Amino acid sequence: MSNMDPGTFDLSTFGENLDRYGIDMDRWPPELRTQAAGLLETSEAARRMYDQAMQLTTLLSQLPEKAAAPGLGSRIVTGVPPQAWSGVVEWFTAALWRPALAAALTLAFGFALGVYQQQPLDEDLADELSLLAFSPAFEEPDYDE
Amino acid sequence: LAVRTNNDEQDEALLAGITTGDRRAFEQLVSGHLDSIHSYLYRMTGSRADAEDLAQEAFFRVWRKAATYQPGRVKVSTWIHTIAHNLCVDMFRRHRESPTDGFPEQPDESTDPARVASDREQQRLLETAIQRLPDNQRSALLLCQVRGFSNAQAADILGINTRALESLLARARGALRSGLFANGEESE
Repeated sequence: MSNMDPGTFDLSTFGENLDRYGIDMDRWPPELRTQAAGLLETSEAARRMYDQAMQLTTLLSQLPEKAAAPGLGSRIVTGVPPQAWSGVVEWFTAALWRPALAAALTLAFGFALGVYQQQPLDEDLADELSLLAFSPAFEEPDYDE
Repeated sequence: LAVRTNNDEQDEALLAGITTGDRRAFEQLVSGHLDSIHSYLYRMTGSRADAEDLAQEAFFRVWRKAATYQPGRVKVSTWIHTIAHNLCVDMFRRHRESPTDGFPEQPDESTDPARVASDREQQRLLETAIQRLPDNQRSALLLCQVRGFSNAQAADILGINTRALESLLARARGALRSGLFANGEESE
């Protein structure tokens, strides 16, 4: 829109930009500002369009506030649960779940690794070890001698 | 760029108080933002009852989620409007209907009793025209032109980029302008 040929800046383009950027010409892209100012000088319809946009802006700014019913504020304030509980829940869900999940995953990984590495001993090897352990040939050396 | 004011700092302090369960801080925050939130929701939904329900739920969420607010990223008012807007969008999704029958309830005569009849008529026409805008155009227009958010802040609230917001604003303003001033729109 802002790179348009100066020749195409007609009333409808002016209207489109007026709706896009509003009545404050300082907020328009500089290259369009100059063309808009030129059109406003020469075109009665452009001036009328600008006046309507100004009128619309004024009307919008004067729309009355749709104030809340008098009791609503106190209903809201008294209706909330104690922060201690909701705060804990919110804190847990918002702030603690990541580290808690990381800790739980680490624990689960460690447990799984431990279970995986605890292979049952080969039966022959177990027999051999018990024979060796209780064999009379195997005696503790007497270190005092 | 958003400029931080004393109000913003005060709001952040109130939110910090809310995280520790300070109901007084919550009360102050509610009283400071309720009318603005309610007004936005009222104009979005066209129903006082829906606006009240959504405002109530929005502030409950503020109470529950105060600890998740990130100071400096957005202003507190932007954050609360984001919560309210998302609730509104959720409601529209659930109902899949948007108010198009104009403003069903009594106009606020109490706001300015001296207003002349023609002004009231013009305002009524404007309210009706706003209600007839598509939801996303209406929210963009209300946030920027009525609630005074910058384009960047409004884009944040709606979860879109600034260019997309400008397009929504352009379509909304164009629709209102041609709706309200249809007879003055002749070309030369």
